Amino acid sequence: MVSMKQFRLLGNISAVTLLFFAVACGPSLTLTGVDYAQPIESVMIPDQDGNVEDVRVGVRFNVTSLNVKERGEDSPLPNEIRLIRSRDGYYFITAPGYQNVYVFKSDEGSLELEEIIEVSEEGLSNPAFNQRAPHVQLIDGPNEYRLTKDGLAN
Amino acid sequence: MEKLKLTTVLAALLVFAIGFTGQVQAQFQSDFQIKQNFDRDHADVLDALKTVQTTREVNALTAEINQMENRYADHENLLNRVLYPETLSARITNLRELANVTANHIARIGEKGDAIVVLEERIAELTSDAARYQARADSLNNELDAMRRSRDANAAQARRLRQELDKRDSFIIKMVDSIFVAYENVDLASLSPGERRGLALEIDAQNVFGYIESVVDNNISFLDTHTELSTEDFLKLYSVQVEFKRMWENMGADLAEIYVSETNRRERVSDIVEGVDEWEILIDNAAWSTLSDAFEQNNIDLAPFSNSLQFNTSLNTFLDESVARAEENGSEEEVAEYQRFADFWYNDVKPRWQQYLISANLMTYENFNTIDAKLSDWQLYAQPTSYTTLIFLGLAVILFLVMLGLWIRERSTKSYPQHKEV
Repeated sequence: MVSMKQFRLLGNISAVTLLFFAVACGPSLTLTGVDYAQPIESVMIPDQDGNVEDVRVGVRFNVTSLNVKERGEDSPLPNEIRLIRSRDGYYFITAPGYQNVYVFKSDEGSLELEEIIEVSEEGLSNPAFNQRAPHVQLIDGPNEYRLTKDGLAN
Repeated sequence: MEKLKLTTVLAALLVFAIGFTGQVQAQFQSDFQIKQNFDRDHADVLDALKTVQTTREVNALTAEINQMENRYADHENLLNRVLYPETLSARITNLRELANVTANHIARIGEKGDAIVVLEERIAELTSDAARYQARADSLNNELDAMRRSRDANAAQARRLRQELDKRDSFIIKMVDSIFVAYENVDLASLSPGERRGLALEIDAQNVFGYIESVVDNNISFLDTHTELSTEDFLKLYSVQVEFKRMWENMGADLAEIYVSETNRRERVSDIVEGVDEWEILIDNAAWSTLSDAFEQNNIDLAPFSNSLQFNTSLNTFLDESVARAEENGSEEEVAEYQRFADFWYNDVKPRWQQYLISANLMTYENFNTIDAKLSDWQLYAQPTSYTTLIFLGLAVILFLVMLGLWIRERSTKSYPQHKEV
């Protein structure tokens, strides 16, 4: 049987352990309801190394590996890259000639692929993103696609 | 009748189809493209407003601005976000205001002639800046007055305030210069008395004369009460005075021509002339006195001077005598004398005062070059005799060896035929 004294000792140890974990975890604060929506897409021209940048929204990255995934090794870079950030913070990227829209989520110093949305078998001719929260609108000539981070929204 | 009805229906359907297609197309318009189009339209109107020549052209542009407003009304939310911190409505309003200003400008040119309008606009533009400088100068003058009454007043504070006033003075000089450039384009003789009066009133309203008077008065007042400034400060003030006088001599007559019908204008012009002269006397006395003190404090014994000719003569005489003395007898003392002058010349006079001495017409670049050359001579001759002797001795040894070599060569040439006979 556990005596009263042992019970108190156990209680004290538990309290100290709990306090230790609480301190170790550090301060915690979450801001909710954040709207990341970029009002207008970024149209960026890749340099010879595949770097693109939009100083207005403050984003810069390299599209070489994305282009390899879309078109294969040794394929030429597209003339322009179209990018827009959705309200929930995902980056939607495509380019003329691409069959897909690539959805990325931002991580520490990187963009992680979240989803590949196939939109055109013959390739997009003149794609453009519009912000139409809650979804992202992709237009290409007379065609319209409504996109979410998970794929086509219908 | 049925045929007519069928045609009407077909036409209606066609209109409906076009309208529907248009709506669909509009629905699929790229926001990015809308922004690009707006930027292009805005830039086009702005460029056109800069070069527009007639009222009719301005009216056409005003109509275009109205059309722009309608064309982009449906995209106001989008444009407000991408134009932030501006808005669509602010951009349109700015274009309209610019169009109105341009229309007024063209109308006034039609009434008064291009040169007069440019002059008036230049005066208005510059005097708004001048008013700002004047307000700052007034507050600085109050500070200076307070300092004169305070026992804690010191040279550093006076210098700081003076530097602030200098900014105002240079601005006024530039302003009047700029107005003068505009004056040159106005044929004053061709103006009617009414037009002259109108121009004079315009200038008077802008208080250009007031600013000119205040520069003169402030400087006289400052020089009357502040003697604690450095040589550099006084020389700088001198160059301001010279610049001001140049400006005044350039345009004073033209101003007088405009103000000739008003008797008090003559008095004001005369007051400025007297003020500029008084300012020159004060700064001239202060500058020569402080320069003389500076040389004395550095143990450089120049003959007394109180104008630029005397100053240059005094400097050159001192250097000529020093060079002659050194040439006769170089010594350690002479090197020290040279070093004292050279330190002062190269550490103080040239880096800190040269630009002001030249801009105030007290010295020229040629004067400085002459003194530099004399200093080089002084440095060479000032070296102690022993050192110089060694140089001469070395040269003599080299000369002797060369002569010896030539002599041996000549002897061997002469002896060559004898060997041949043997």
